[in-house]
Amino acid sequence: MDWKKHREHFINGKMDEDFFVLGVDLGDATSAISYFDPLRGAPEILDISGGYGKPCPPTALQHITAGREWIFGEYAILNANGSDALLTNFAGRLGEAAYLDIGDGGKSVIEIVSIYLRELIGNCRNINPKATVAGITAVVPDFIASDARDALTAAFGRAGYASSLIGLIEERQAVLYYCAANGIGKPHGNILWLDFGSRGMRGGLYEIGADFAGITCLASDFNQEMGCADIDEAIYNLLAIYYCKEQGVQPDKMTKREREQIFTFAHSYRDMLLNQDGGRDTKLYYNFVHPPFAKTVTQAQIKDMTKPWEKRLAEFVKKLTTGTDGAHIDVICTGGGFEMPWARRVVGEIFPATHFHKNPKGILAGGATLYAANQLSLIKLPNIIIEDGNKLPFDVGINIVQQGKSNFHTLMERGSWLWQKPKTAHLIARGEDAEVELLLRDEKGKTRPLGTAALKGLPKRPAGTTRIALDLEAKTAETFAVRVKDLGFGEIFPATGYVENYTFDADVAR
Amino acid sequence: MNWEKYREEIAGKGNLPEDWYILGIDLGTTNSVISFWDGGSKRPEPIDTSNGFGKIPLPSVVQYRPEDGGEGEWVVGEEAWRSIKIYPETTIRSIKRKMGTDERVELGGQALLPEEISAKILTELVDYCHSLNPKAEIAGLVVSVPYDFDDSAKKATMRAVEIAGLGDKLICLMEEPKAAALAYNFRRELAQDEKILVFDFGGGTLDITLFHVVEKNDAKIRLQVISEGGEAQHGGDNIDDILLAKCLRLIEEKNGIKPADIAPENGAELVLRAREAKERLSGVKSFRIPFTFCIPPFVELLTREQFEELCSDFIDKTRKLVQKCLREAYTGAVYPDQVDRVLLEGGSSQMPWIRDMFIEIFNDENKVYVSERPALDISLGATYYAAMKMGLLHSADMEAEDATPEVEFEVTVPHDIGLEIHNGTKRSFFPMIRRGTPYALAKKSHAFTLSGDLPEDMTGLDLKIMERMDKNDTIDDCKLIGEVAIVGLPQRPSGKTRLKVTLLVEEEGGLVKGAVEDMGFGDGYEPSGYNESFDPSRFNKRVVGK
Repeated sequence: MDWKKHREHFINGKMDEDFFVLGVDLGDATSAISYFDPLRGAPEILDISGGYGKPCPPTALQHITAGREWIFGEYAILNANGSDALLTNFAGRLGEAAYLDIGDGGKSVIEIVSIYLRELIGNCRNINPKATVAGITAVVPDFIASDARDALTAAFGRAGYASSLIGLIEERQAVLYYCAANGIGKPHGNILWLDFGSRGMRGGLYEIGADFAGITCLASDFNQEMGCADIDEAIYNLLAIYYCKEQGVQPDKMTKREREQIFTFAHSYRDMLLNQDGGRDTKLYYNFVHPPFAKTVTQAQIKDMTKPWEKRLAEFVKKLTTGTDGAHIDVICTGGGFEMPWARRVVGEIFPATHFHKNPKGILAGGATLYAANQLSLIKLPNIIIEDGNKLPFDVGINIVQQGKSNFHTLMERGSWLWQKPKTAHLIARGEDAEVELLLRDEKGKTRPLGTAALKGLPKRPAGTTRIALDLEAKTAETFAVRVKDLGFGEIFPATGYVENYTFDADVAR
Repeated sequence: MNWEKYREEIAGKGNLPEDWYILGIDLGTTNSVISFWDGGSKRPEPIDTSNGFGKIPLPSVVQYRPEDGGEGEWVVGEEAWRSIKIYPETTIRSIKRKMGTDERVELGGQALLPEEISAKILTELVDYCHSLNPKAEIAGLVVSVPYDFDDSAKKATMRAVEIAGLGDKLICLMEEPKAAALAYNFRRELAQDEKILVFDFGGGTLDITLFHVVEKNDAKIRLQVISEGGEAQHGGDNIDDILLAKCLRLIEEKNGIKPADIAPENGAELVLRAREAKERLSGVKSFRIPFTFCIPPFVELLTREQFEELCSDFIDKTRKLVQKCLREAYTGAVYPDQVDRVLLEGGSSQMPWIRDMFIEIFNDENKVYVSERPALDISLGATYYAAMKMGLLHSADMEAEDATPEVEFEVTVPHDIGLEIHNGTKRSFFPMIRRGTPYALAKKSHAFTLSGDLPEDMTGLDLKIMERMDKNDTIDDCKLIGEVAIVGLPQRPSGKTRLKVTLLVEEEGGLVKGAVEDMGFGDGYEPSGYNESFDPSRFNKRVVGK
């Protein structure tokens, strides 16, 4: 049944316990699902581990070729055996037209995500066999492209939840719904949201209106060099070095089986090494080899390992809040990175009144659940609308001629953050002149020129034999820095290294 | 200050001071969990025993690490479990299965009783409460025990609490499935007249309890236990043992090594592998068991089907225990279609065959519910009960404030309690308190006439207080609660002394106590005023009346 039909049945905000209203946060490393508890009128995380481990499962699947069996979450990681396909980090690939190797063939990213979602959401029927999913909201990062959003929607549909999907909301919206429901943030005050995830550190500073409905984004930032995945890699490397030394194996000669064993081993010790309060040294028991051996990782080693991240985190927070009165800022931290005591300490030293939730990985799913419950009239929260001054008001791109037809190719999408630097574009100049014309496209699809970036002084080459690397960066919503570089054309016309830098102003172009 | 004093102070203050902690402890065979009553959210919160890395339960493993020239180190919990292969001979697990016995464990130069080992687990758990709040003051606690724990195992648990320095804080012991049902009640909308079967399948024990929601309205919920079953030595550990035996057979077949020749550290590895295989086969359909220490090393594939075949006797017995619990309900046999839901609790209930078994018994997959957090529910329920006992869920003010309905929980005596009697040469069990009797009514007296050939037969009497775990048990199957020697009775002719023997089961802990009173005999023999109470013990024969 369509979620809107369910809303008609939830009279006076009452919902039977057999109905599940869900919030899903499909993360890169771990995912979270929470449901609306009708008794408490609040979201409750669905603990996939049953209380034995961590409530949020790894975003991982394993495909056992022999029995065509899919293994979900923690079991997939533990079962890594070097032969069957272990799939991780697939959520970040939504929107790519890629096929992932599952051992006996390939499956699209959408198919893989749909299998994962089916398993994740299927846990509702475990705790209540009569469960009916009345509505789902999923969170997405605010910077992902529309292709990725469409792919996630398609994955929900393929998992059998097309009619239950209320929609996708941005992660920052979910956080602000969570704040609104939990009394975090004062009228006319500011909320600083920090998300320490697998792929990086993100943050936003928001000004709250008289009620939560009117919110302005004052600043936002993203640092790709601060992801938990990098810390996990450092842990993996440390544990692999111990293994190699003890077993007399060259690190680059480890078999796939050995690498996956270390991966599983690092997974089982990661939280113990990084998230322990109280600063104890940790003994690692390499029980999977014979004879078993133990190694101690000291807190000093961990401190040394995380020191660069500490510095970056402090700088990140200070940069985001420069010029704002700290006394009027409520801080909320999300993401698995904030399970690490040092990360909490760094933020706590700058903002002593920071809200640290005991399960920072579950806040986004909780916020999404609140949004879903609000849409289904089970609770009454303001409709949170965020005004941005830090997003692009138009598409920036170039015209590409293919089979005689000219098509607009987007380099920076309308609505993307100014800090979102697109990948370097590799182009072939059409004419004899090595130049690229950049265009702006408004919401109605109308284009106008932004400027032309040309490589001047290049030796004359025939048309279609100059490859150009183009880097584009938004300095403000109106100003763009463009860098073009000659890449030559194979061995016939070697790259000259010629580079030109331009600054284009959208206002002037108008 | 004992827990009753704390309760009075809380009643006087009208709230729970921030530094006062009311605890619920699930002292489990495989894992233990501690929770506290959160005065702010008015619900129990489990305490993370992993110092922040997210794994709440503490493995019930105690390890002694000898040190050259030093006193050695005691390690409890996750660290002890992970290092079992390094210290195979000084690591103790599943000590709960030995509670109530006098089987001592040689560790660190001491011969420790099971309760002394359990006390180390309790101390470790309570230490985590203090690390949560260094100013924490324990105001009261409830410790859970399996339904099928006999009197001496319950007493051993109470001794463990005393050894851990918490004796005066212990409000009571609580049976595990009741704790689980209580936790579930606060999370779910139970309906009036609903019958819920709680299947609590832990590492050491299986507890099955059938509850009836007798009354349910906005102000009150009344839960009544209408049947109990299960077995004390029937848990996940038995499955580990089956798998361990299979591993030993494989090693003998492949490498020709006999079980007795396997080194302790390799034996410890097999214990880990057996547990791992059981746990993994809950999530995957096949698992490769590595035998890394064997020469040559080998890997054996075990499918879920093969695993269930290996455990078929165990599975069959489990099914029979469920059917027996339904058949022997206090209110008469309960048919599967009269049960509204089955709630699976405990780590061992995650094995897929459990769900399949219930679907087969009840012929309805929509009746089988799994608790959201089966690992934590018993501890959470024990905390709810502790809060109820401390007056935090009964206060009229609090009810008005947060509309928490009053919970009435009718707990019953799980086993028949009685005496061993002799009719000539024939010994038999004389039941005094029947299973299913609410604790509030669990006090029964019976008059016996004393007779004998010798004068000392009239001045003394030996009582054997027994516990019948199953109604079909013979006197030889019954468990001894304790022997009591009654001495100093007035000298009278044979058949001229009537004694009133009273047995009662205390709600706090479910322990059996008793009393003997001389009632005289008709007009000729006035009561002498002899009236002695006793507290039986299996290990020390009590002598009363000296």
